[in-house]
Amino acid sequence: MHIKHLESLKFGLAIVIALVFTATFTMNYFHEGTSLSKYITKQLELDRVKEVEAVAYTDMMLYADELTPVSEDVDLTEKAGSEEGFQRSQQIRFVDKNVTLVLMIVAWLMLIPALQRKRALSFIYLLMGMYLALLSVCKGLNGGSAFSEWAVPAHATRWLPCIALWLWLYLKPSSAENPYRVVKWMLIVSVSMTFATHGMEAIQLNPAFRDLLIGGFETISVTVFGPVSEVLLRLIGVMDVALALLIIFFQRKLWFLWMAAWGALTALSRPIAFGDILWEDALLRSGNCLIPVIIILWIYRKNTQTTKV
Amino acid sequence: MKILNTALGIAAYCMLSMTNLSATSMTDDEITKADYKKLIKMLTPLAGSTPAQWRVVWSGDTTTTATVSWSTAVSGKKHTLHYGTKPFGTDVAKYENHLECKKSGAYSINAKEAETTKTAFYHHVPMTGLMPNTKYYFVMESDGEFSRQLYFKTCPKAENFKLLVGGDSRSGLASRCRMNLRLAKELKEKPEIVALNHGGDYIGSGHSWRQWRQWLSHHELTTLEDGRVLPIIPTRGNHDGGPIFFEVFNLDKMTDKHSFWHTISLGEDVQIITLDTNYSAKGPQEKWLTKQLSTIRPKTTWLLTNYHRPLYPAVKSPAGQTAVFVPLFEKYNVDLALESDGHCIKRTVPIRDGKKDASGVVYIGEGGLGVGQYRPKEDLWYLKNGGYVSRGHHVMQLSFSKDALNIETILMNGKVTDTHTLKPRAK
Repeated sequence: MHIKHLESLKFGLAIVIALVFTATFTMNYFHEGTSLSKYITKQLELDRVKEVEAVAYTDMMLYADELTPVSEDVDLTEKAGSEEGFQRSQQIRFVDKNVTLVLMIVAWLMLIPALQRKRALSFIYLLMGMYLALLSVCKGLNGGSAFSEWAVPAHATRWLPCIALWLWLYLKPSSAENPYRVVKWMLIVSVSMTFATHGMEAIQLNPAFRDLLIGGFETISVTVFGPVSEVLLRLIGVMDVALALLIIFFQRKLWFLWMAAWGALTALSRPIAFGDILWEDALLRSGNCLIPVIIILWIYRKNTQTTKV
Repeated sequence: MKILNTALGIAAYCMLSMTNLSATSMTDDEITKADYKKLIKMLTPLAGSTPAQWRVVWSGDTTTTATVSWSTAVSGKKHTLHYGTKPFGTDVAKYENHLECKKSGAYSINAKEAETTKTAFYHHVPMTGLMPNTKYYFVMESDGEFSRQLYFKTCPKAENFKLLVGGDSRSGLASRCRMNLRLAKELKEKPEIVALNHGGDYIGSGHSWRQWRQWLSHHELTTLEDGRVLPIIPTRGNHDGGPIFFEVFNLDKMTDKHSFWHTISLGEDVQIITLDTNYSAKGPQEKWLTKQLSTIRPKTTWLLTNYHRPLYPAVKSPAGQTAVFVPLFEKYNVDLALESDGHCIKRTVPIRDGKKDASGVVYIGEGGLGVGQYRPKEDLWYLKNGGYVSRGHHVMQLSFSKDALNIETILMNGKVTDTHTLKPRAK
């Protein structure tokens, strides 16, 4: 495949990553903290009030359970005052905001070709991928929303492309470990994981998806009643899962084209159905559309170009 | 184990009498510093068939119906509620009514917890045909074990009354208990308080029986020395997923996805529509809400909505249901919307069409029944110039009369930090 073409795909991938970090920063800065900062804040708060010991003490006194060994003389005095705990949570929030700000700036700076050529800087993408994966892990740990425990595979189009780009930049094309095949597969797997997870959520009637479906139809003046929305959602779920499996075994342009269109529609369905307050949500999901597009261009060029790397 | 259970049963009996020493005799300062271990020793252990973890649940018409629920450590064979309008202590034969429990079962327990923890058993006795504004005394009996005499008061039909409103008690066990003491103290000092509207997030993980059983035991701290129980109006928070919520509050699963919404009628002049922000706004819930609002609005003086995730938040981003609920609230002129989830104190200016408007809807709450507090966004337009925002453990008190709805925010130490009055809408 033509090197120039691959360079443009690499650039496209870097843009997708920059868009994801822009959305992450915007949501964090203007709305609420990241799942990571929420998780850390919660753990520190539980530690401050000695929650584990208090639970163990209650278990022992009221239910005759000694699940966590605790003495009747255990000191349950809070480690620090609530104001101190609050101030600490504010410090975490400050760091959280600035980390996402720095990551967003770096993600855009990394579009400069000269920086992309420096192998040492490629590790930035590895760190970014790990950071986004960590956010997904924390979302699952925090709970409190439907299917949050599936966040890691559901968000694969956010974190896995970062790791793919790191490999792409780090490994030399001329080396024995030709990165292109691995990178392409990582992108395919990321799309597959995201579609499969969203498909399973749709089959199980994720309430948010139902709202998007009904709201989306309402914008074109079509009313979808409750039972119909359930059937439609389940069919969409089956379609998503089927596509997720198909692309693993047979990579066809048409399927990726469909996934790109569907990814764009579902990402945009948020602002379409609920107004412009959710544009960051759409941006955060840009990978669901753009990663399949990159894969299509990859396959298309591979089939039409005679020049091989 | 059997010996231990028996010992705990005896301890439970002793503790019941110790409860008379409880909470509400504490000063405001003592409440904020109450020692968790001492409070735990005042609670009824869950052992044998001793009735424990009692609660009075309100859903529907609160002037004539209520459900008394309790837990026992063993399933037992016969569970009976003895009740009536006159107090007879534990001389249960003298009570006017004796209802046998028809709805008992084991609380759900997840596989991981089941390896180390035993579940317990719920018993629900729904009562109908009650008289408004009347004290009902009751004693719970499980296999010959009796609770002490407790009582609650049904909601008045037309007279003025107060309602406590709060949410988010999912972590910070000591603070949760102290806030329960605050609720009890408010109830003792203001007998016209009828119930607590809990806005959800009772516990951190709705699938954890270990967490629910602690919340249920802690709730006993809201019971007064004289046995008065504070009825609870339940709301489902985003951390209250799973089946235990329905088992605790005797609520039917409205659909296969465990959604939950209902209308509470507090006398002739107050209606609260409780929604579920864990469920799709569009579709069945929107249809149901539209019907409720269009039916109730013309008939009632005070129309409130109640749900967990804020539509006009002070901390987080708006709930996914915002685009559906807000236009309906404004169309049908809801007076007040009760919200939780943000872990802060909030009262918005009246809002209509996305801007301040005297004819709009006021949104209050965000939750402080024990959970650690977040920093609210003070510069939001709907919290400035007439709105209020702060943080701290708190409960809100709504005082209803035909002429006014007075809102007070009460901190854990009893101080009132915000007051606001709504006038009824012109009919």
